[in-house]
Amino acid sequence: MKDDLLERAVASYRDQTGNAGDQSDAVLERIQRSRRMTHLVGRKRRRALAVALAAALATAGAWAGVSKRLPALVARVAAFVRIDDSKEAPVTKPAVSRHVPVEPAVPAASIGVPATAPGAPDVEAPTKETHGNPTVSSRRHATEPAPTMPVVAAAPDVDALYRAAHDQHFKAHDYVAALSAWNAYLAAAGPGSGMLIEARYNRGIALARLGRRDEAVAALRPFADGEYGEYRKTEARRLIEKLEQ
Amino acid sequence: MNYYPLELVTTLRYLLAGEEPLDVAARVASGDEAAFVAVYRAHFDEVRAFAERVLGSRSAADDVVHDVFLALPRALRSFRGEGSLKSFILSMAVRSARSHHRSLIRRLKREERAGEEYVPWTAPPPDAELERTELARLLARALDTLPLDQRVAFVLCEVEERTSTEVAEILGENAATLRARVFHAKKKLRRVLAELAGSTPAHDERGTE
Repeated sequence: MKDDLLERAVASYRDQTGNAGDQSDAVLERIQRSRRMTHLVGRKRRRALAVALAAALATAGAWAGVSKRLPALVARVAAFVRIDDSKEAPVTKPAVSRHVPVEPAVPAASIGVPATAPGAPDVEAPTKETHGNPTVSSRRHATEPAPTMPVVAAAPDVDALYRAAHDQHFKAHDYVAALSAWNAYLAAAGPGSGMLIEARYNRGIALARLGRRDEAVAALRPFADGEYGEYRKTEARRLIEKLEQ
Repeated sequence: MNYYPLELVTTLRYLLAGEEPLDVAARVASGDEAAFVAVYRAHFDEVRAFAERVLGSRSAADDVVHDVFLALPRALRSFRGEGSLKSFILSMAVRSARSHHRSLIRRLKREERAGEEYVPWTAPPPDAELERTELARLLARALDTLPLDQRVAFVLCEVEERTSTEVAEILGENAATLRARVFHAKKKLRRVLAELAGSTPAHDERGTE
């Protein structure tokens, strides 16, 4: 009996797997693209490196000129190579102030979930703000204010958002919190985020568990229709069948 | 996509005329694109099927195919014709599957197979097709419990029904080691399958939420 079950399972597995369908051409194209990129990188590597280096130096020089640090920079380089025999004290690096703006909250409606849906409050992206004390310690620039760095927006920690959503869903089994957290991750994650598809699927599961049938079906439909290939296609179809009963 | 008018001719020539593996390997290694495409077409199905059966993921299988054939021209510089070209390519697929398996395990642990926990089976599958699908799914889950070496040996020997000589050539191991691996794999799979089969459909008390 046991052998029969294993033999039947092996036969079924053999039949159900190994059907590449029409993937042969797609994979070949991908391989040829990779090979072209490899050749391209190999031939133009030094040229690209030289161009990048020149661009970086030009940018640094331009910045130094605009921020009036160029003379200080020249002096440091000259001191390093022992060309400048000036008796001035060495220039110390002044501190600069940094200001990071508050990350605006992304509305839940932007990812297809009604903002007024019960149990699904909008989740605001985390904010980050730091302040530095501007000081001027250079003798040469005693009368000049320290330049400020360009404003840099704080990027949300998408990995942390995913982990939080995952914990709510699979450990705490708090699907209200999980849904909010999946929404927050999806709002913050860029197109290249590694777990985007999984998050969309898990969001659909959370909606189903909360009894929000129509929304769950809408969330799972792309998987059932094969928009993500075979990933969760069968499971999504079964779930939708059950939900629509 | 590049299309080479000689591709079909070369493929047929390679497949039907029994061209010497060393000659084909030399042409691929030297950058002969038509020969490369012919070898790809000739071995794509086998490599992909093997990768899918071992890794249980079609996208991972595509990745394995990509990695194997991308590396093939360079790898063929060291091919000395000791075995068949097919075995050489499949041995590359085994190595590629190992590295993909590691990253796949990390990803699957993260997902914790979210969808499967929810599917509320309340009745046995209605027909033979669904039963086959279910059996294949059970075996896929059971294969996940095997160490990779046992899984590879089991897939090659039992699922793909290759001869022990061929599998020994692919894996570079002796027949006795292979037999032991397959024996232990089957022993564990029988036990896991019985457990899984006993905990699904009508027997799953936690089926409905």
